[in-house]
Amino acid sequence: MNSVLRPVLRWIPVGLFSFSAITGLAAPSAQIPSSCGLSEELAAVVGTLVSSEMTPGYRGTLLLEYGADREFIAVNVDQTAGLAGLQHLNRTGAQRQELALTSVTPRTACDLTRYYTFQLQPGRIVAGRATQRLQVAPRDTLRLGYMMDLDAETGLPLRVVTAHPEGQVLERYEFADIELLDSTPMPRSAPPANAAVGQLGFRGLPPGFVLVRQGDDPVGHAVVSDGLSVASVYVEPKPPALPVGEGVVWRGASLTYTRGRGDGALITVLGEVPVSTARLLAEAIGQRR
Amino acid sequence: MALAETIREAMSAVMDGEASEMDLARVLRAVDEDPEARRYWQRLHQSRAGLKGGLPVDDIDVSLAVRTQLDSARPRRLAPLTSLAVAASVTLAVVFGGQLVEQADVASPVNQLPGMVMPVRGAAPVQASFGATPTAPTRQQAVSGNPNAVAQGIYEQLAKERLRRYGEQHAQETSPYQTSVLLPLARVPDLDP
Repeated sequence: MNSVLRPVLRWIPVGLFSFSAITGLAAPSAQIPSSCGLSEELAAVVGTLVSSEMTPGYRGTLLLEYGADREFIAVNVDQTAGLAGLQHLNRTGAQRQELALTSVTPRTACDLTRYYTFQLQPGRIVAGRATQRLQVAPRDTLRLGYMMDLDAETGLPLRVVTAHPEGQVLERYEFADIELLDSTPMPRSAPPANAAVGQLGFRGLPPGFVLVRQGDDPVGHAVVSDGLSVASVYVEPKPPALPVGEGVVWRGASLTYTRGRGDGALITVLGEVPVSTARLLAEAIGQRR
Repeated sequence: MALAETIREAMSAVMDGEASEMDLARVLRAVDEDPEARRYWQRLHQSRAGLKGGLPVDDIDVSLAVRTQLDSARPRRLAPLTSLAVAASVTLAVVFGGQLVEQADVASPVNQLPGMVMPVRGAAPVQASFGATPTAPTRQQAVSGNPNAVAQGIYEQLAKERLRRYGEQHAQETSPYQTSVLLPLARVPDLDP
């Protein structure tokens, strides 16, 4: 484990990171501006970030840290097989978990500039690789902010600090080591459900968010995204004896917000969004009429 | 420009779960169009105790945390007795709440799903404190026996249980939209810690 921890110790001084670095006004880039004001370089970097198909496969070990919890995780993304997997190294008897890589049409960098500002500057070495630092600052308090050290060659996020719009650091992760795989991405399947099918609907959505998919298993749920922030909203019947109320738990940058509404619905919002956004989503979702 | 009273009232109604469709439409439109409305919406949340996550930047001492891990072979620190007491109190509130729900609504589809409000075995501190640290007001309210605090304790436990139940599905279904596809899956807590 010490060999794993050693690279981590090297990034401790960066714990001095301040949220002001994220929320600071984005300085204009010296590159040629695109139609939305982003330089061509910045637009390309953000475009790669939001299109996971453009990044190569890899395997490595990352440290994920939130509050007093920290976990070492072995990860493997196989673009050829269309599978990603992980295994928690410091959980007793942890099983390998896998998920299928699917394809979507991402929002473009210009789409995102209405809700975020982006700033690019030289990064530092992470897991032995040169990086570019991308600061992503939300323009409002309805989404999270990020400071990402992206691999200079591939655009892969090698180190990410996620912060609440109020300034609290929610989570950090960093690759301790990484090996890029020489693989050819295969055409991916689209997600099996889509936004047009389902019994649920929103009476409105927080600015920038769109409904991207729905499902009915195990309960009715919908997924919304603004291109960077994502949330799943689950709808169940509220047991009559359960009073109306709400509760929230953070797990790193993932929020779980459960609300029992007066109309008998029990709503759970699970996603990488602030509570203020989760409340709006929980209030707005309902049965399609 | 000052925020219209109708918007303030609509926001309060949304916060309290008493919003009409018109209230909700007003709030959504206001936070989309009016920076002052967005600030006011955020201030409302800041004033709600017990719903903030994470730690202030200054409270995170990565170097100390890593040193502690290096110095000790134990995977977790022993929880202070105070945390144990608080955990036991929250556990009581949750078990009470869970029994209340199950007695009144045994046939509910919710109760037929695995998990529901899990009766917490013993007073294991990890059940009351996994993920982000419960905030101080919540703990104190839970100890007080206040009905609102009991309800909040139930909902916090429900939120934890829902994270366990839906966390993997959220990770699977949102991976195409994530900048780091595996992170949501990595955050899902042990099913049986």
